Amino acid sequence: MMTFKIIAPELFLVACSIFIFLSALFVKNRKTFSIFAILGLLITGVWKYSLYGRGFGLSFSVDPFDVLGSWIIILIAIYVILISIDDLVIPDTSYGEYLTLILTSVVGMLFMIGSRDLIVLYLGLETLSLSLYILCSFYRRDELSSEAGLKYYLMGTVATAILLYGIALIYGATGTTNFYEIAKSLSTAKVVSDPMFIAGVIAVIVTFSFKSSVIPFHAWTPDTYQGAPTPITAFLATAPKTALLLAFGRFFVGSLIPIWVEPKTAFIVLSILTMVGGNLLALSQNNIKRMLAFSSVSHVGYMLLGIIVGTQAGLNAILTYLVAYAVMNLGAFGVVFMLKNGDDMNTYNGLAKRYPYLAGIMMIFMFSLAGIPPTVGFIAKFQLFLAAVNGGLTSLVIVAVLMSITSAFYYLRVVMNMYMKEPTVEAEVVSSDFTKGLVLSLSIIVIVLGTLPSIFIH
Amino acid sequence: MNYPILSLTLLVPVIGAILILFMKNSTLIKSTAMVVALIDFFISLPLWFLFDKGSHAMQFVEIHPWIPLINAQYAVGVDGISVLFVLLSTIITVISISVSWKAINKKVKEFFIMILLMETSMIGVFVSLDLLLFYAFWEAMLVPMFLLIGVWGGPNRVYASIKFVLFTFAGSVLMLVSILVLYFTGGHTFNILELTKLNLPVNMQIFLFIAFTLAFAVKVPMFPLHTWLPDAHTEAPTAGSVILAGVLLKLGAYGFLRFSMPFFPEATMIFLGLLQVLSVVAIVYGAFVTLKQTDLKRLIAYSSVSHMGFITLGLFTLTQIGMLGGILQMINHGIVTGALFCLVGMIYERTHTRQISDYGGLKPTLPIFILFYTFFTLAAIGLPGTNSFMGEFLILCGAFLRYVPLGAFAVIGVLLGTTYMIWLYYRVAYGNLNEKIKDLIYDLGPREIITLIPLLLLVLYIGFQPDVFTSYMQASVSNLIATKFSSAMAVHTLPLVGWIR
Repeated sequence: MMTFKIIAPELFLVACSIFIFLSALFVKNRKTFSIFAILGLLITGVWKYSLYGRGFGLSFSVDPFDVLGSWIIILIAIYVILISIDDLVIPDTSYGEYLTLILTSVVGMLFMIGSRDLIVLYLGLETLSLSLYILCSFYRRDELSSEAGLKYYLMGTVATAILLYGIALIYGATGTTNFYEIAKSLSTAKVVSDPMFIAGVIAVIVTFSFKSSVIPFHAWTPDTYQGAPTPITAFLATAPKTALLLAFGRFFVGSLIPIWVEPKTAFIVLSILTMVGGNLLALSQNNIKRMLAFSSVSHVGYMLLGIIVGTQAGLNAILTYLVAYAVMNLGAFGVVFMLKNGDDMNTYNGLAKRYPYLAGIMMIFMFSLAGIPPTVGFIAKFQLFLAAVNGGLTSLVIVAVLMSITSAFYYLRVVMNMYMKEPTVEAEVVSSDFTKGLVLSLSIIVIVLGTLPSIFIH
Repeated sequence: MNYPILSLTLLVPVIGAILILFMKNSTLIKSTAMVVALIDFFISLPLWFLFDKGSHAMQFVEIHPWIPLINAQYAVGVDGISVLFVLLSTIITVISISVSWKAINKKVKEFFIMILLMETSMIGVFVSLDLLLFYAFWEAMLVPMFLLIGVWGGPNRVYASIKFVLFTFAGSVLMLVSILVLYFTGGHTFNILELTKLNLPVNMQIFLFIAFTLAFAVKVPMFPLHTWLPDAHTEAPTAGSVILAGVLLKLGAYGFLRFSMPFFPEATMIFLGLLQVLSVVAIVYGAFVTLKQTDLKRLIAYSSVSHMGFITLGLFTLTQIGMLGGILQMINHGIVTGALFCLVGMIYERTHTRQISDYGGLKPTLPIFILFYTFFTLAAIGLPGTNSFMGEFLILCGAFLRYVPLGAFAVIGVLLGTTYMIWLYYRVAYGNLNEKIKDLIYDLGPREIITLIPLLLLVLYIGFQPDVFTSYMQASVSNLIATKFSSAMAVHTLPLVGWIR
């Protein structure tokens, strides 16, 4: 019974989601539900603090790193719930399901982060993915939304199938699915050169690349991002990335270090492709959600640097980056969400004239995404590059830096549209004051963490 | 002196900007900006009086931990080279707010917020003793300048602002990589003073020198990286041009002095010839291109390319006299070109044309304007008694000492400079009054006169008493030469310096 204690917070969250799902049959009040869900998430997060340790053999563990990762996800989920409260496109009748799905996806992600075993990782990933498939197509009558869900579903299931296959192969070669055991078994030369094992690792890398939209496995990303409801796009762009990078990063760095040279080469190639491709594709987008989608692809490319370094310091840098990335992306998507027709680039033309504050906030997010100080985006990039240079990846950092210049083009374009163009279509803010406050506070966080980064770097 | 002067000068504009954020009335906004800038100027004044000129050490130093994990510090301080630039920045900010008083009618609030943020980041660059902090200010500066040009600029502003940002951003991110490399080779520190003590292997120096120098060369801008400058200058609002000419362009040259030379002395020696040649090319080429400009602002912008060539030439002579001249000329250029941009802005406010052919015959109609215009034209030419004379003279001395042909070519630039300024003066002041502008023009008002007078006084002050200014820099420059370039330069610390003292 004691072993269950370590996953008690996750189980509690499952209970919460079931409760919300059932009570949604009788109660129709969005606010009550939302508050309940948020409370559930907060309790889960606090609970995790008291639970450092391991359980289920060595399959699941909680350390400060995991807790921090979990908190990023929980806070993202809370933010998404908060901005969805007054989103009338999500009908009252299905709001309970909407929350349930968000909570279950969080459960999946928490499992992923805590996993030290490929099977647990797989279970978490599937729980997450199934919820997300539905969330993406939540605007049932909207063609784009259905397309988003379908595309994500088709690509995603193939990816998870590949993962399962890979796990089987790794198990076949090493006789275990546990991260530590795999690392141990790699000390024998037989396993290292076993084609079965190599194929298994490749399968895991491919799945990871699919799920975190690493180029060339990114094809689903822009369509899914564009079609999904904006709060879900924000969710999709941030939370699963956190879980994926931390969980898979832990696998790569934790298990494969004895043979790190080959995976490293693969990741270097993937990282360059992702940085270059993501940025170049983002350049030509006229839909801001698609632009942000491609830009998020490129950000994963930067974060891969942390994995390539192959050290705990690299993973720590990723964690910092993820915090920054979540704040600025949620903020940017928040602004998109606040505007009627917010995903059309033309909506932003001359926005500064009608909504100077909103434009100012969006500008802060754009500069942060481009990595210009004094924003959190700069500090995050700096941390990551620092770890990478320390790991001897100077030339890769130069690529990253050159791509940052490219990214400045499209981020600045939004700023340009807002400040330097005349309005062509009427922009209209459709959200409540509460959402405005939320997004505003994110912009303040971007600046505060950008000037006083020691608050979150430790 | 028990209060943190430098931190206050950095902080006051930010507080001012935050205050302005909550204001609605545009007169109130302008007055607040002005008051804040003046307060900042007065806060920075003690630097002038309390600075110990005999020492080359950093003064007014404040050090606090910033990001302890990576040993980054909030470390600020000034030496003889940077102290004058802090003062220049605070003065130029006051002036640029003053010239914007009537010229800015749209998005007034944002404009003055940007000017104040600009001030903080400029000062920050000059006072940072921590590389990361320096880089943060260096990059942060892009944001307000991008908006100043792009929002309040001329018809081609969007193109110009993007070009400005991409040139400078591209220049400086490579510096970021070099900073990281330095951090690890320097024993995990960003402290500039400690890094100065490093003796890096030559091949590493070369790599890092190139990256740093590219960033600075774009900012200066040196030939052939100067193409963003005429666009940015021409399209920027008057205040933007004044800040660009007054302070921003100086940052590149300052970077050479603070980083490229002391960090990488051997690499500096290797590239010295190239940099000297590029400087001379900038002088002569810039002057030739200036000759054929038809737009008032563009003409002054191109002349800046030529003038900045003088400055870098002075620095890269690596002689004490040349370097003093270079630094002095940095300040001079800020004052004189800043003033010329103010004048162009003032006349443009009235006529809304910058075509030189639209002007002419202003002399009898606008006596006060012409008075100032004549004065600053003469200063730009380098008439003895004005500040530019002293600067150019010292630079040429340095150039001749180093290598006679360098000086000879640079002198051509002086001749061409006189030609285009006189030619411009002739076309604006003499001849018949152009019909197009006849009904539009009226003479300078009290606010405009008050804006220009401090610049005029500075021109004369430096012109007649250059030693007051050079005495601030002397210790630092001598120290730089003595510690880093002693073997190469010993011959050239000449008694001439004694003459101007």
